[in-house]
Amino acid sequence: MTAEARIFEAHCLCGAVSARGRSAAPEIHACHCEMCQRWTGGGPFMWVDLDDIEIEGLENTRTYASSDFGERVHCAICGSPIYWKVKGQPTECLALGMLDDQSGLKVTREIFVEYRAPWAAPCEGAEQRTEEDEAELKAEFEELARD
Amino acid sequence: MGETSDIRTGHCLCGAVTVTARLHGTGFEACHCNMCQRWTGGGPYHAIRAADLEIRGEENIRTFRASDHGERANCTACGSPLYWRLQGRPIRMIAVGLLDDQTGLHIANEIFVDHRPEWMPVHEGATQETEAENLAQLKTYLEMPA
Repeated sequence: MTAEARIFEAHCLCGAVSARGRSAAPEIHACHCEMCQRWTGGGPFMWVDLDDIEIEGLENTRTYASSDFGERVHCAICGSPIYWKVKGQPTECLALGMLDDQSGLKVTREIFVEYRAPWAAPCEGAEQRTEEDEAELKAEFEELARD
Repeated sequence: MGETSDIRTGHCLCGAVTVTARLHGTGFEACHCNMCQRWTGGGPYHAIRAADLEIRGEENIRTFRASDHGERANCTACGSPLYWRLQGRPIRMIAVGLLDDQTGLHIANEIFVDHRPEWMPVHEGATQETEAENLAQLKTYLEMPA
């Protein structure tokens, strides 16, 4: 028997972009790569993987191709990060900051941890993965983006 | 008050906006208000006091006012947060994420801590200030001659 999916409502700071998604076991993941740290104003980029994501207000967003396979979308009005995704692939996550209700969520995984800002501490209980640990997934993303 | 000569460079994710700043010290602030949490994609906004600020690429900066006293600046191309400042006042703090070198920096104070999300622990050693305490200080500051 699967757990019932929790529905998350989401909004950027100005409200021009809204979204919703669902997950039966939502988790917060954090990326400490240099790109993510610059993109968020400092510290990791944090997100929640969600199913059935619907987004309104995409016409108010701007996409920045940050690598040969990754795209970062932000609200063009207020700057809020909306999501990161693989080029040409569906959106599978929303930026944590978008979510109206973050109660009960925990950071379960951190990636590119060797690049963590010197002042930032690991999240207790979170799996710690290096760039090398992520290499296989990165190769998958590059393959998907090439299609 | 002694002046430091800790001059650091920085840039947004795409490089359209670059900065040079002289840091006041190595301690910086983390703001947990709901606006900052949305603005940064989650978690607090990390801001550091900077003097002699030089910003290049101003044509790539877009500002947004989420409140009646604050102003937020982002790069139009990549969305990176650049700074928050009081409307009509000089820029005094910049986003820590801009800095190329963050060695030696530490979170010295946390504000709007009553809005900190439950998944985030208190940062050990940092002073803690609630929304009410912060706004009271802001009110005093705004009443001072500019």
